Order: sequence, then structure tokens, then C-alpha cells
Amino acid sequence: MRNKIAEKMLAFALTGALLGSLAGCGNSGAAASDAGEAGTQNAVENAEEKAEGQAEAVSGKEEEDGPYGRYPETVTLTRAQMTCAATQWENGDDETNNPWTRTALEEFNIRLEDAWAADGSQYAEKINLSIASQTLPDVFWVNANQFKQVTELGLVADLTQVYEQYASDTLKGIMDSDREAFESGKIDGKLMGISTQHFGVISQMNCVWIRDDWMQKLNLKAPETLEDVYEICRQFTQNDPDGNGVDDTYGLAVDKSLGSLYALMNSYHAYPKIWLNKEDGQIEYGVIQSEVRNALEAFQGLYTEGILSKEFAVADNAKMTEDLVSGKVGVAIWGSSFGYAPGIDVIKNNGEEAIFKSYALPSADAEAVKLAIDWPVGNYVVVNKNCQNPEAAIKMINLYTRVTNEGTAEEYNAFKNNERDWGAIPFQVQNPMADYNQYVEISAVQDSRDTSGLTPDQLGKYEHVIDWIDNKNPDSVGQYSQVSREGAYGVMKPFVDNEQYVRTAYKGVSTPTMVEKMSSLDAMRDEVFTKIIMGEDIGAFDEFVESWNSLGGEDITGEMNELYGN
Amino acid sequence: MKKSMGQKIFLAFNYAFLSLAGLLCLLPFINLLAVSLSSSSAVAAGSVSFVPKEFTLSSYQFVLHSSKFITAFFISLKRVLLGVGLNMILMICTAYPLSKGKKQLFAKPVYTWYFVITMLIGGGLIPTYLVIVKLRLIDTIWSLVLPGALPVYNMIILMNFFKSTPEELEEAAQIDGAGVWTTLWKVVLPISKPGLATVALFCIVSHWNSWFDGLIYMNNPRHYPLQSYLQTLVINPEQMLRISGGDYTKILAMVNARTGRAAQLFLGALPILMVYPFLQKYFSGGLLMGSVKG
Amino acid sequence: MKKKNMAEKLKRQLPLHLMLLPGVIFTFLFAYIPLYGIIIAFEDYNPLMGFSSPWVGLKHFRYVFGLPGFVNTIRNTLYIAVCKMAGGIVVPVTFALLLNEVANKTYKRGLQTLIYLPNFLSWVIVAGLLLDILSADGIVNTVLGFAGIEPIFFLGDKTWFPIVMILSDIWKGFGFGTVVYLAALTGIDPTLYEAAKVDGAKRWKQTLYITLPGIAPTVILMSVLSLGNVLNAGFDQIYNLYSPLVYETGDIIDTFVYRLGIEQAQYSPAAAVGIFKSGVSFVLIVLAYYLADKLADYHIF
Repeated sequence: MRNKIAEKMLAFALTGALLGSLAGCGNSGAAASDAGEAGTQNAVENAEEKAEGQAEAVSGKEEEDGPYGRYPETVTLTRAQMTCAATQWENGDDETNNPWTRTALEEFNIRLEDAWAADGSQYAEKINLSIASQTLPDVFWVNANQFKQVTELGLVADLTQVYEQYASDTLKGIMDSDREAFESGKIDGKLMGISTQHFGVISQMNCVWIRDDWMQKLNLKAPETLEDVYEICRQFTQNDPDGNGVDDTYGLAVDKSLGSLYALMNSYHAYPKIWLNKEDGQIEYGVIQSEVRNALEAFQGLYTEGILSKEFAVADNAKMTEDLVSGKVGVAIWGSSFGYAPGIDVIKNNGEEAIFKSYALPSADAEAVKLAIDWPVGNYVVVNKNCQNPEAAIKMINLYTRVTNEGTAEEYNAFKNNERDWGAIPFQVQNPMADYNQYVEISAVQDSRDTSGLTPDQLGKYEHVIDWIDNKNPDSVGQYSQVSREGAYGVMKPFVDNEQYVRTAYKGVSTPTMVEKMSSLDAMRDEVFTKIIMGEDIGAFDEFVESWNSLGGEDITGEMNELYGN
Repeated sequence: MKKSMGQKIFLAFNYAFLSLAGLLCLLPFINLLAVSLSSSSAVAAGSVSFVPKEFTLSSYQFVLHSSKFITAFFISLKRVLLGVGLNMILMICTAYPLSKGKKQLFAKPVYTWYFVITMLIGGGLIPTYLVIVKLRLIDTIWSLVLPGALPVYNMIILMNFFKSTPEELEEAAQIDGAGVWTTLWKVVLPISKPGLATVALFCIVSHWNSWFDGLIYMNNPRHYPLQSYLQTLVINPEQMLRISGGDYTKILAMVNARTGRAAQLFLGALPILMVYPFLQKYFSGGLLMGSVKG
Repeated sequence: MKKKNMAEKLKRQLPLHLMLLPGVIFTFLFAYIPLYGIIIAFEDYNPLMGFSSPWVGLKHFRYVFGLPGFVNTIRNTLYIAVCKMAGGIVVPVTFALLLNEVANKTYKRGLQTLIYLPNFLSWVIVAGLLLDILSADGIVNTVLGFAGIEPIFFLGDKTWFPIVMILSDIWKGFGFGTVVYLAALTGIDPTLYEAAKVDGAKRWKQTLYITLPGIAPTVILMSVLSLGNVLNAGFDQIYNLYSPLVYETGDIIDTFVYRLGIEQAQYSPAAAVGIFKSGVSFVLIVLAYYLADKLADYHIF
């Protein structure tokens, strides 16, 4: 209600209409001041004086209103908090009294109140109970399925107007950097939820990691084709790269989840874990495409050659990591975080020369590689439609993005270190360009060492990069392998710039059969693929496609097309 | 009386089999205890069976160091005291009249069915939640105590126990001019100790062991009773270890998700293990009178 | 005259009725008022409109019966529950018979205490215990490893999961049954055994002809009473141990309702399943008490 009046008032002010007395309660927002008409101001003020009954509503706004406008009188905003066991507050702070809550009060005059707090594992359930019992707080997070529901039930406010008016430029920039994700918060053109965004497509990408000292030792050159990568694996398997005279090494790290092989399938233009928008407009799951078959045949060959561990089918992630750390295997298909784990342990165990270097995932043929990108948005910030001050939520998001992207080092530390940024839920929105920019900025000043242009998060990583370059401190190899000029993000950046990636057609809303059966279908996929790689006839893949369809896959595909199809 | 050879062999096998079964009930707990008292590396290596390896109290230090466990423990304790107290009052007050004959209690079948039907059908989780919300009990200890204030099953056990007590004593008391309350307090309850102990044990156990209502009705993990808190750990044991720095560094070196969880589970089970032997002696008798002889 | 009598009788009874009042009120508040919520199964429940949401009749019943996996869920529930019930009778009866042969009182008492113990621990604790001992590097797989058996992923394997549920439930509960049957055994008239001995009947013949018939009423009674649990396959246990990997064989009605209602917020369909379950259970329980009355001459009220 209030919101609507504010909208109207804004329109009046913009057109310069002197209708303040009619408006009853006024919004003397920034736009009104910009209109520069004293008459409007006076009219509004008069209206304020008269409108006793709406005093509270009137006082909610102030002349200098905007992204960081302060309320003249304290506004209470209830929220659903998500807590993290690892959060450590300083100086006797707790989840109800900390830098976030204090800044909200001091800067905006917003008093944050926790309607409830729940661990991440209970949060969605608590939201559903709150929906059922109509005890929803003012601001809360919903996942994609709940977003669909609360909008259908009409429980949340239309944020189109307050977003336009109050979102800071930083926030708008963050939203614009992944429009598709942002647009998923719109229903029939109205902005009903603010996507919490993500760390960028770059953070989902994989590349080839190869142990550098082994490369040097065997005189191998950087791989350009997929065959080059396989040849390096072959050499690592056969030519005793660790020089201990024992045939105890192999080429490619794989565990029973087959994760690295699924990533490697992108080289064959196969996308076994995402939903594809096909040219005919249909949506289909990538795992049943014939490209997967080709990739599996190739992997079968790798296994026969001994390039994969003989025991990969029973090796869990810990075992695979152990092989990397103990120097049994020299090539991995991994994301940009390889340098952190297992990278740090690799260096500690084998010395600084044992660093793994990153190379772009090459194509199996002439066609360029595209990397599979999963749906990145986890939650939406939504505002209860009964909330008196929906713009307060936007202001809080502005605060979070300001501290995160533009804050000083001290601010960054006080608000965010030791998992303290959980205290900003549900006002947390990530910057999809943050990681990308870290690479761009840090790699640019790696030589000049001029840190004046770096933001606190960039500076933190920069210092580790330098620490590795200068001191070869193993604990800093993660940052170096990720955001330095030689890091994985450098390898991945062209994929982002040239849009060499395939986004899934799935947008977070699950279908009934998917909820019921997807896990077992995935388990069947892993089982059959493992058998094929270990030597079973490739015909098993065709049988798998048939079973996949008959055991629920076909139903899920139908539901997916109904839900997301055009 | 002499035993034949066959009987001796049977007895030997019998003892062996029963002892094995007894061990089967005990060994998992001994294993859990051993895991909780071993170092994380020994546990990770899979070498811990029934004796702690690289003995350490780090896991217990870790658990007791975090205020969460202690807080949850005391919430559970409070819940048991309040809950069982209320249970006993309501059960006695309900079971005693219902143990009377139709002649002594007008509309007895109506009362009985009124209570028994609630064991058979329920409104479900959401409607119950709505009632708790409307009564403003959410996030209070009362949301854990009031909804189950009258446990019907236990009440029936107690009712059957009251039925089996000799009528003459009550009659004698009433002839002496004692009212209903006095009779109940001075005559019936003192001779019903085994029955009361039985249902009290059931109620203690049920309150101590409840976890689901805590998850649903509490608005903050800090208000969870112990079993709800433990449940979140059982589901996700790694989360408790995502604490670093300060006093924890040294302790954490010896703890992992498995040893930490084992210590918490063991501490969570401990109160029951301690109360159980004391109440157990009343127990078989009370149970039998109540539920089987009818 | 009669009326006065009645009034006087009621007056004398008044304290008893007053005694019942608190129980009646609590039960009304927390058991009867929520029953009103049953109607959401017949509505498209919209929290904004509450219980006056649009009436849709049996739509949600048709919906849930058409859901993938629902029939599967009923099958799992029946399978797990019936196996638990069967095991929950056979194992304790056997134990009671064997334990009855033991002459040493202390041993008998100690063992009873021991096997009764798991019954008193919450499923949270027992689930934690199972997660630990059944994990890939847990004690069970370590022992299997000595026998040269590859580690088994007990809780993530479709075949093993229901078996683990059944066995662990029997393990947790058999002590209770044993104590009950043992008590029933002590109730058998000792003169019957004396007479049998005089006739020269062997021990196992005594068991067959005196002991078993002696506890038969209790066995029948306990079985019949558990009939009402045919659709209760154990929410506390399964919720704390299952994962999407084992939905196919491990998902039961109660976990299904929980996921539908609380995780997916499909309140009306969840209520429909709840009513279906309540209805079937109600019929079974009434049947059970009828049978208990006929077969064992037992009535709880």
C-alpha cells in the first residue's frame, strides 16, 4: 500500500504536479528534490503535518532519500537469518549485535530483528513452515522452488519500483553482469525477487592441471590438442616421471564420482550433467547424447592403456587427492581451486617445483570447446508484501555490496572475516564479476606491484600471489595458481570473453519426477559409465539411454519442456 | 538333579549364544566410545576397534569447549523436568478416574474414546504447527512440553495399573471419610510406585529423546534441546569442525568429524545410561501389570 | 426420587470429573483443534486464505496417487514395516525361551538389562552410531575387510538399505519384547511342568507343549497390537539415515509426507497422504483391537 502511494507520489513530483495535499502521505524522495519546486516540498510538508494517522508512514522517508538514505525514525525490519556454526564474532558480538546490525541502525536507522534463525540445512524447511503459518518475516531468502510458490501465492512484494529507485549503481552493475540470472527473479515482467547471483561462470569452469616438474623432466611441451594431453598422460604413466625407478605413476586423476571425466567430456562437446536447449527448441538432458558415447569410448582406451588408476572405481575423492599429493599422478581436470586443495599439500609434500600448471581444456576435434555451466543462482531475496518499507531491504543489499566490493580493508575484515558475512543474510548478493576482476586487476599489477587500485578482497589475494612469487610459501600457492597472470583464471578468461560455454536450461525449479528419481538416475549413470570405462562393450551405453528414459528420464524431460520450454 | 549330556551341551551353546547377543548390543557402544577416545588420525586409518588408539580426550574437550552442547544439554534437562512433571500430573489425574467402573464415573466410555481416538488420528504437522503459532508457544520451552502433556499410551498403562490395585484399601479409606483426592494421594499412589516408575521412565526417555519438535518449533539453533542439536550434527558432522583459530587449534589437531560426533553421541546417551539402571528394577513388573495383563 | 439420586451421584462424582478436566482441555487444544486442519487436504491450501481456501474435493488424492514413486513408497512401507513386525516377534520370543533356560539369576538379569538398553536411546543417537559403524572405514567394513570382502556402502545402497533398517530396528527393539515374553513365561503355572516331568517329557517337549501354548496369548496379543503399525515403518530412523540414493527402496509414507509438506511446501497433497495413512491405520487398529478381544480376550478399555 505504502509502496503504491510512494510510486504515485514520485510520478506526481516528476511531472511537477502540485498534488501534495491529495497524496496524504508523501514521499519526498530524491526525485522530488530534483524537481526543485519549492511548492512540492511545502505541499508535502503540509501534508505531513496534517496526516497524523499516517505519521509513521510519512516519517519513513527523508529528503536525502536514495540508495543510502537514512530514515528519520527507526524502521524495524524483521528477517530470516541463516546461521553458520563457523561464524566467529569479535568483541562479544553475536548474531543480533554485530557490525552489520549496528551499521544498519547507525547509517539507515534500520533496526534488524531476527524473526528466526536456522542453520543452512533447516532454512528451507523453516521458510515453508513460515509460509504455511503466515508468519513470514519482512525479508527472507527463498530457493527457486519456493520463489515460484511465494510468487504464485502472492506473498511477496513487487520490487520493480524500489529496485529502480534505491538500488545502488554497484548493485545494478552486479545484476547487469548476469542478466539471465537477474531476469529469473522477474515474473511477468515484475521484479519479485533479487537473485543472490554467484561468483561468476569463471568459478564453475575447469581446466587441465599438469605437474610442471614432470613435464620438465620428460621434456614435454605445453599441450595444444586433446591428443597432446593424452600423450602427456601416457608419458607420465610409462616413463617414470618421478625417477624412482619404479613403475608406480599414472596419468590422469579420476575418482569413483567420475567428476573429472565428466568435465573432460566437454572436449568431446558432451555435457553429461546439464540440460541442453537443442536447436529444435526442445530441452534434453546431456547425458543421453551420442557425444557422450564417443567420449566414453576414448576413456575406455585410456583405462586400457593404464592412464587411469586401476582402482578408480573404488577410489573416493580423498583417495584421488592422496594420489595427487603423494606424487602418483600428474594430470588432473579440475576447477580454479586446485591450487588451494590439493595444491598446497602437493607443494608441502613434493617441493615447490611440483606445482601443477593450468592449461585450457582442448577440443577433441576442430570445433571449439564450450564448457558446461550449471544454473548458478541459489536463492532470491524476497520481501513480504506486508512489509512497510520494502526499500529498506534494497538499502541493506546496497550496504552488503558496498562493503564487499568497495569497502576499506578494515571494513572488510570487521564485516566479513571468519564467516561473519553470514550475519548479512538475507541481504547477501554476490558479484558475478568479482573473481574475474580479481584476475584482471591482480595480474595487471603483478609486475609493477602498484596496489593502489586494488579492493580489499583483491589485495588479500594479491599478497598471497606475491608471497608465492617471492617466498614460495606453500600456503600461498592456491591464490597464485588461481588469480596470478599464470593462474587458471588466465586460462579461463577467454572462455568467458568469447562466451565459450553452455548454460544449462534448468533454472533451479525442480520437477516432481526429478525430485523423486534424478539421484537414482545419476547413480545408474555413474555405475554404467564406470563399467564401460573398465572395458564393458560400448553397446551398454545405448542400453543405458533406453533405461534412463524408461526409468523416469523421459518423464523428467517432458516436465522440463513443460516448465522451461518455449 | 543331574543333567544329561545333551542338556549340558545345549546349556553351553545357550550361554554362548546369549552372551554373543548381549555383546552385539554392547559392542557398537564400546566401538563408539573407543572412536571418541582415539586420535583423529587413528580413526581415519580405520584401525580403531574396541580399544582407543592414541588415547586422547581432545574430542571431549572440543565438545565441552563449545557452549552449544552445554546449552542444549541444559535445555533438554529443563524440558525433562517440566515435561515429565506435567506428564505425571496429567496422567495421574486422567488415569485414576478412568480406572473406575462405569457406575463410579458417569460417561466413562465417552471419556475413554475421547482420549484414545487421538492416538489413532492426528491433524498432521502443519495444523499442529499453526496451533502452536496461534498460542504463541513458538520458540519457547512450552512448545516442547505442552503438546504432549498427556501421553495417552502411557496414561493407559497407568490406568490399567490403577485398575489392578486392590479396591478394598480405597473403600476402607473412604469409609474413614477420606475424599477422592486424599484417597488418591494417601492410598492409591503409594501402592502404585512400580507403575508410576514405569510410566515416569517412559516419559523421561521420550522427552529426552525427542528431536523433531525442537527442530520445528525453535526459532534459533541456540534454543535446540540436545537431541535436536545432535540431529543436525548426525546429518552434517563436518559443520562443527568449521571453527578455527584461538583455543581450538591445538584441540582440533586431534579431532575429526567422526571422533567429535562419537563424543557428542556418547555424551548425549550418557544421562539415559545413568538413569536407566535405577528405574529398571521397578520396570519389568510395572510394564507387565500395565500393558499385558489388562 | 430417581432424579435426585442422579444429581447426588454426579455430585459425588464431581471430583473425578474435575480431575479429568485438565487432560480434556490439553487434548482438545493439541489433538482436536489440529484435526480441523484435515480439510486442507480437500482444498488448494493458500496460506493467505487459510482454511477457507478453494475446495477441490479429491484432487490432491488423485494427484498423490499419480505421483511417481508413491506406489513404490507404499510398497517400501509395507515391506519394511511387516519385516520389522515379524522380526520383532520371532527374535524376542526366541530370546525369551532361551533366556528362560538360564538358571543363573544374576546373569539373566544382567543380560536383560543389556539387551533392553538400545531401546531407550533416541534414533538420533542410534542413527549416529550406525552412520559411524557402517561407514566405509567403520568397524563393520573393517571386519568384513579381514574376510576379504570389499567395503559395502550400507546406507547408500538400494539393496542394503531396507535390510539395514529392518535389522537395526530389531536390534534396537528386541530387548523390550524379550522382557515382556519373559514376564509372560514366569506366569505359566509351574505345576504343568511338574506333571510333564512325571510323565517323562523331555525339555524340548515341555517347551513345545507347555511353554509355547503358555505364552501364545501374549504373542498373539503383541502381534495384533502391532498391526496398527503396518504403515509406520519408522520415520525417526529412516529420516536420519536415508538419502536420495535409496529413495527407491527406502522411502516410506512418513518421509514422503515430510518431503512433500515441509521440504516442497505442497501442503495439501501432504495432508492428503496423511489422511490416507490415518484412515488405513484407523481401520487396522480397530480391526486389531477387535481381534485382540476375540483371540486373546484383551481389551485396553
